[in-house]
Amino acid sequence: MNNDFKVTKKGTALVIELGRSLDTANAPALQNELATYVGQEDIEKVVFDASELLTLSSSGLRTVYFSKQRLGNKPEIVFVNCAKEIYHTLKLIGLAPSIKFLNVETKKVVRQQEKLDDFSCNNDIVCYSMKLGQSED
Amino acid sequence: MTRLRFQPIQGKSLDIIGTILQTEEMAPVVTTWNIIRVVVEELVVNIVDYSHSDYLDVEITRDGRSLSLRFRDGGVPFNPLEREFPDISIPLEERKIGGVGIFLVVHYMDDVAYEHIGGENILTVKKN
Repeated sequence: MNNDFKVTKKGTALVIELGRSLDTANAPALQNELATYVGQEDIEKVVFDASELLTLSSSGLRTVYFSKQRLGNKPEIVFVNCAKEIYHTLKLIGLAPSIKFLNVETKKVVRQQEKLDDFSCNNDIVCYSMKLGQSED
Repeated sequence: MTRLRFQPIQGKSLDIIGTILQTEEMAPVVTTWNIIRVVVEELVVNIVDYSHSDYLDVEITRDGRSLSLRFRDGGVPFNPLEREFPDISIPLEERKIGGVGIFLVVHYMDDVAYEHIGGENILTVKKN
């Protein structure tokens, strides 16, 4: 993925698929891309797909601030599949109450589970695929 | 211990961060790797963007499980620990980004100390 992110507008939602890091190496480029959506008042939600995200610095946080303050009309900010370390950072700086957190089973996880299911069928064991920080229930 | 000197530093943040993270003292860092990455970025970007120094010296020391990084620059005297931390009670729509980087550094690291000696800013951070 170029710059380790991908931005797609889906209806009234702007979806940002993040890579392993959102930091000074790629956050300015993401903010430049987000700036092209300024003025589109129909953006009601900005979704950060954090399924792969491991590192979030203050440069990366700027893009979250930018999304809330400059896009649409104060759109809802959503983080999907946020690792516990990233959630901890957002909570630490007091942003958790302003963000909706969702856990969604991604196609990648589904594919991994399907492979594990196939393996366990043939090997008389039970396999689990669990994201870091995710509880069994 | 590894000693690094970077000169000049303007516009070199990514190179400096990458070089520090590739030193042998960083190799054993596993569980706190993402935290250390953020700390190194916050401190290097801060010095490169705001210190007006033309050099940055970095010492990286590993003692058992603990990791220490000392940053020295010849820029304008600036104690980041005296900077007011961001008001985290302000909602996202009204929030300003300033001060978040050093706030994260202080919370992520076990020790953070600042000195101004011989015309240099010296910031030492340690993770046990």
